[in-house]
Amino acid sequence: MLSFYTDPAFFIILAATAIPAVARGVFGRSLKGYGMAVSALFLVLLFAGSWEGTAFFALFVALGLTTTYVTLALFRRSHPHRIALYRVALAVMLVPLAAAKLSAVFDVNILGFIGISYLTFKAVQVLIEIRDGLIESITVPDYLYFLAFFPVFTSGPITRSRDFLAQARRTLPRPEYLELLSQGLLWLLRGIMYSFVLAPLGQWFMWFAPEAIGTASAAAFVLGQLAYGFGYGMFLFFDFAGYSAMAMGVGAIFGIEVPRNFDAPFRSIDIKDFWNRWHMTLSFWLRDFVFMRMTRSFMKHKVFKSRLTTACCAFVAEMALMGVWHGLTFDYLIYGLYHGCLLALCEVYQKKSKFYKAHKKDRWFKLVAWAITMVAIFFGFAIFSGQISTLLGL
Amino acid sequence: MEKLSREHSKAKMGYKPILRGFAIGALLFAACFATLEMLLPSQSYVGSGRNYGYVYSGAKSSSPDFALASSPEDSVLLFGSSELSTPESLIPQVPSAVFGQNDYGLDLQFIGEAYDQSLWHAIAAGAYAPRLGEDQRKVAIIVSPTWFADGGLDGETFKMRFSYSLFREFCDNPAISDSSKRYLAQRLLEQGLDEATVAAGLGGNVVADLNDWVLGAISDLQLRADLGDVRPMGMPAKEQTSEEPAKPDFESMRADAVLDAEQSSNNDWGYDADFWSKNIDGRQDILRDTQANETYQDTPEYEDLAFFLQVCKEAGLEPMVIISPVSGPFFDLVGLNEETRRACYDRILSICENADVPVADFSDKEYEEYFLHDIVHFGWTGWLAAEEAIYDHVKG
Repeated sequence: MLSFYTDPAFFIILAATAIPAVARGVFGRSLKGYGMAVSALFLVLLFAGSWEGTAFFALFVALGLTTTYVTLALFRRSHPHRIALYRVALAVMLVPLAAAKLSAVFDVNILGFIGISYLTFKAVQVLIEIRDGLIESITVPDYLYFLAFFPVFTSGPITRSRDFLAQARRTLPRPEYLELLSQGLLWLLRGIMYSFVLAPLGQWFMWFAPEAIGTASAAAFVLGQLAYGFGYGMFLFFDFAGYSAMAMGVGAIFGIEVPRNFDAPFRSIDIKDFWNRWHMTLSFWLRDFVFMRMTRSFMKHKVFKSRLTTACCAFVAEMALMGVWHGLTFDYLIYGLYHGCLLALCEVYQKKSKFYKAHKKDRWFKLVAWAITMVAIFFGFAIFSGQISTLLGL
Repeated sequence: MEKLSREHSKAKMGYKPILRGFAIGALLFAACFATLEMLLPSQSYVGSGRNYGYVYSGAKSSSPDFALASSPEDSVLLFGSSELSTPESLIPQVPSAVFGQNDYGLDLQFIGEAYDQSLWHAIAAGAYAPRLGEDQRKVAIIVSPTWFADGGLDGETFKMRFSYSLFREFCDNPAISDSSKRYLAQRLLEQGLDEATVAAGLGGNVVADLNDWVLGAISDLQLRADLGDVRPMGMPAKEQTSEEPAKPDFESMRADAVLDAEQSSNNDWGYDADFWSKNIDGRQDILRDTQANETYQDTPEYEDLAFFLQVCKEAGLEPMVIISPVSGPFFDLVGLNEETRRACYDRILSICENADVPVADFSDKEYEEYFLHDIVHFGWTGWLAAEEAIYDHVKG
């Protein structure tokens, strides 16, 4: 029923619930209990009016609790089959997302609900860190709060449980809270400007709608395509970065420093740099829980001859996963593979090229690298938006 | 494991200046908003004794408060679109001259502007109906085949014309049935409006009511700002006399109209000279067959027209449908042949028949010189014909 960060009602209810939060923070009181109550309220409003969404969300939470506590028990008791059973638990935790994405291909919704993509990351992370011995215990309220924290519920940034809960458990002294709040308010304002002023500006460029081939002069057609592609990139960035900034701001009000998602991505000088600046929490999650494990496993089992080949394969696999995580469509898959190949090519170039090693610190080199990176990422956006598919008549 | 990237506080200033700045900013925002609220006159403020019944304006049309306060009591609503913008200087037979400057006992209130089609008018009819007097039950709508182009009205154009406050008043009208509201909601979503806006108009829960409060306030402020541009327009109100209103002599007006037309028109198709030279003269080869693929059948507009008539019925209005022709020679040129056009007119007629509403059918005037002054809009004799039909509908 309620759309976060777009409905006027969201901002009104947010303002109302923020006042007691700020009051508590100012008086150095704990924000955990209050934050949990407010999150519950917002989730009720989010899912109200949709029996499907509510039911699937409840099911997901039940699965999350079950897999988490079973896995905890397995590892606490050093159960002989704990690794195999952990793998089952992991697979179970992935079922809702897989079902949702797969059924979406047929225009049906099985097990999906708003926020499922991000919640899956969180639930899976907990299981993996239990297996790694990084999490030895977690209370039910803490686990639920980690999943349900409303500012990041619908579209991230992806928080990490240990970091989140350490912050949530802490009661901030007044000066620290006010410091966090003031930064949060700046983030909130920045997010509002990005989402409601700059993102529509990006959309304005998109009105130079891709003309059907043949109806306009070649020059006009090309310019129209470029304007559309540029506009889409601008829109995508400002819309998502704006949302992420607002999420950081709202998180701060409730005493949580939410991790950043964007850090000047249009300054990237190569594609690796880009993924350290664009949708950072997604990139880092995939790096920590997919890429690292994949490379470690490949190296251990000596699947590939060299470290470089291993890395390249892992890049392509990791990014392909990133692509289909957005949705099981042709465009998203190609987008993922495209970025995987870019990362692999970049890795090979940077490791092998003498020219690169000689000039990588030169100003002119960085400028050229930046320009090439910009073309590459905007082309990627054009794949993501379907512009390329449309042009190719697919 | 590398730490998550965090926004380390690079700011040298502490939190106090930031919070102070935020508080001052918020106060300034509130002060600006309050000032705007106070300075903008309310929608119903009309001011001087002018008659805005013949003013062509989307803001006026979207504001029943203003429209009904700014024209003579008992003005009859005429729902239309771009034909309402024709100026008296071009066609001396427009309603502002015929009804606005003579006392024939009939005043009109123009509702609508270009791109307002059946769905928009249905919302307007539902919004205006509860405020109309007993003598205002009879209304008229000018429908053109161009409304029925394949694909319907595109989303962006529709959204540009959509008025949230008019929609909300439609939803607040208790006479409108639930099924009509559902139909409208469905169509609005199809036309690209977002769910939150549609749900806000319909109301029924806390979230919708909160959204409605904000969207309504924004729509109200926008209208109040736009009406500021409308207030300088309008014509002097007619003097009130105790005499009986005269009966209009359409025959003699028609004779004068033909004379006026002969002076303004310089071409075989009876268009005004200016339009002809800008758009048709010498361009006939470029225009040939450019609309040959148009069928006038593949559009939701027919259902929307039926919906408009249904809304009128529920709201207690008695509409007359004026079917405006399009220019025969022009549409023959662009490849939209008579058969296609005839099918469109017939379909409109059957919808009116099913709804049992009177029709002023001018579809046989496609080739009559001076009926239109351009490819689609009423001209010298066309406006007179429409006015006579309206007069008979209201007085008859």
